[in-house]
Amino acid sequence: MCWRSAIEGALVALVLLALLVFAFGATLGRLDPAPLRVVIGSLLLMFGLKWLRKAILRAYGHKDKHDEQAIFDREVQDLSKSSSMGKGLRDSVGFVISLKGVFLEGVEVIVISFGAPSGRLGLAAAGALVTALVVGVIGFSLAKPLSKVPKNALKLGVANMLVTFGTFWGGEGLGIEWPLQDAFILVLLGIFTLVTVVSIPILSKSRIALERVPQT
Amino acid sequence: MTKLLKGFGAFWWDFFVADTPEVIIGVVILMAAGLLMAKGASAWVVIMPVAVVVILGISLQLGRKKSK
Repeated sequence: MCWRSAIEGALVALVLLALLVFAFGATLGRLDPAPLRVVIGSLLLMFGLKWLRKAILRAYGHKDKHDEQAIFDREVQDLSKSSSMGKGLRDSVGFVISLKGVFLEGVEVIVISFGAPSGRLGLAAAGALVTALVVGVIGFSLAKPLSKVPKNALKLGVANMLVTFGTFWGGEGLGIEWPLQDAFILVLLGIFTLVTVVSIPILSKSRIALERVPQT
Repeated sequence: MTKLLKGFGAFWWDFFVADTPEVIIGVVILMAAGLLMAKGASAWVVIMPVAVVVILGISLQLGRKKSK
């Protein structure tokens, strides 16, 4: 793959994201926040539950754990084979992959940013920008130690947070008055983390019991 | 054009639904029920997180069956 095409793909994605925010940002700010929270909460719940399901199934051995390095090597090999780059031409595969990745991740950030402080687009955008910078600096400086943290544990944590925020915002949109207000997010996070932590050994035991049943 | 539309549809289907339609259906049912009943009902402080855990449980059960 060619770096130039990948960078161009990322830049086009950033322009598309900026257009998306420009086109819909102001309109979203004027909308009633309740239906918006229902939609954003539903999306977070859907993504969060899908991630959590996959991570739990991996943790108790019903799905193969990801070997990130092997996956990366395989992807690079596949992309090198399908790369259409010739002399002086652009690498269309690298361009599309980069565009798709940056655009999709950007849309996720926009969805989360709009859900939090509805009606305060400037604050949400500033928060997203600061987060991007902080995460970039932390990622760059902690890349090596972070690569040793089990990926599935990270995914379990992120999925629990998505489910927590989805439940909280979705509930607020539905008109549920959460006790303790925003602090109830921590209660929900505790509940979902507990359910995850308890479910993994239970499911593992049931798998081991199943494996011990003699095959006839 | 048809191929492009099919590819576009397949991409979003894979992105949202893929192998977990029960999660999408469960969340849609939960939100629809909530829109009808949750406003001002204090019981929903309990019902909402419990329903989310039930959806996760059903999805895990189906995932286990698929992997056997």
